Amino acid sequence: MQNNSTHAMFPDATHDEQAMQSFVKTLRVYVLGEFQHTGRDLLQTRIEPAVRKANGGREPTRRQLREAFAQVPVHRAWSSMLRVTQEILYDTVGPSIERQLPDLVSQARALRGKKGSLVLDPDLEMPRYLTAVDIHSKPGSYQQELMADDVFAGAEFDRTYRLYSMGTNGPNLDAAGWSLIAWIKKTYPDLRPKRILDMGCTVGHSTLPYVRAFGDDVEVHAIDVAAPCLRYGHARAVAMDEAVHFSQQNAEGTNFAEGSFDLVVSHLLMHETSRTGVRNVFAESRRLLAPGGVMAHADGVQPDDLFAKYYAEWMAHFNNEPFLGSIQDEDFVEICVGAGFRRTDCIVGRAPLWRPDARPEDLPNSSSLVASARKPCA
Amino acid sequence: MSNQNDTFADDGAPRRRRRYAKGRRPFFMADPDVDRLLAIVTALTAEVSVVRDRLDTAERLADLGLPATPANIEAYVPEPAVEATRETARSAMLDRVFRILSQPTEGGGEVNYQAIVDRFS
Repeated sequence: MQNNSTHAMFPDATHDEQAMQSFVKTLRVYVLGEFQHTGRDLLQTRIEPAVRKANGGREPTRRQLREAFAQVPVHRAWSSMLRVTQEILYDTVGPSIERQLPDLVSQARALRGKKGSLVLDPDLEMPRYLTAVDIHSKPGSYQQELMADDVFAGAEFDRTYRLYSMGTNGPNLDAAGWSLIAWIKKTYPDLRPKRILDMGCTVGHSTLPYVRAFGDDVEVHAIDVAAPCLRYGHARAVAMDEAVHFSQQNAEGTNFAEGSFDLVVSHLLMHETSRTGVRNVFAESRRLLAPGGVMAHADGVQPDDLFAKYYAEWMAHFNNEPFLGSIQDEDFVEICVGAGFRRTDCIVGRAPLWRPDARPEDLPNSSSLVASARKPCA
Repeated sequence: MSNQNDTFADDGAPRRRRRYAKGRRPFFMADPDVDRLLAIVTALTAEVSVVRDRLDTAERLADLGLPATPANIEAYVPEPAVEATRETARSAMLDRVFRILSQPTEGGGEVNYQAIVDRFS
């Protein structure tokens, strides 16, 4: 049995399960590499010039890019392979988690409440944007439950995210959290948050760095709508000896009192909501902030990279992430202002990928968009 | 109304996981059966890769003077250098299996080739 993990909740793998998962990782590197390499080349040499010509010089829209790429046979083949890779990812990891699920559930039960806390709400209604399709083409998505106290979706996600991120997110898979922390510290050097909320935390990969990044006396809360991810995330945090208060809540409207937090963050949450959802999340963030508090929502939005825009469009249409396309065109300052923040208190920036356990030159040169705003001091 | 599952089997046994995602299964090729065939070929390539790793484990156990019993195979944890060698082999296999998809199609098709045939005929 191979574990290769930094915490005791991490699902194991038999020799052949590990071999299959290692293959899927290599397959993903290979297919995504070819998709991007040949795709960028096509965009530059053929697609962008042709569409601009037809457009009177204007930049191609996402839809025009999708329709133009669909005409190129070799790109259709790499698209087909990319979809297959995603399906094989879940069909490889899923059975391995299913085999050990009763044991994982027992382990999570044993760890429950040892540190931090977990509050579930069986009556919470799932937002429609999370039930219309299985997000990321993950069968059963993140909220399906297979047994009492189920952790399947969370355990599967921990292993698939490790394969999917191909090493860049670090052994604790926490680079998204560290990257946003670094951006917040640089942008708001005077901020000393005591209470922090992470919205849409899944299993808490990005949440855990916040427990130590701002000092020892910080209280960190994390919410998500998916119970199996929260149960697993709570057990994982306990196994890693970190105190986080997890609760099952919708970031569009929580039960926390007004002004409860000094810092409200999210990582890759916005694109999993909807046009209306993201506006509600920003308004709720503002409600939850104490005077002088900061909200910072990070996501994979790259309006200045035409191929990245096409890739987001591809994912929206072919990998069950319906809002990932149109979020590329959002004006985040306007969303902040619409949520009640003063225009002069809004900042839209970019957080470079960073984590303390890697040298910057060893990390890919990538960054996330950060939509941020500060509530005025009283 | 809750979307969550509320009833489970009395014996505590888990329900089976779903194998297919809710949503649209997109097809890209001119004939969707070609997408299906690509999926089958990729899955078979994964199976070959697993057998190759298992054989490698058996050989490395033999090097250590150990028989390749199921228990020894399960207990074997490859050193990083071994894993790196396997990774290189997997990459090379993918390069061979899917070679045709990477072939440039620009800069010389049948029309040009006919001109060459004519020139040397």
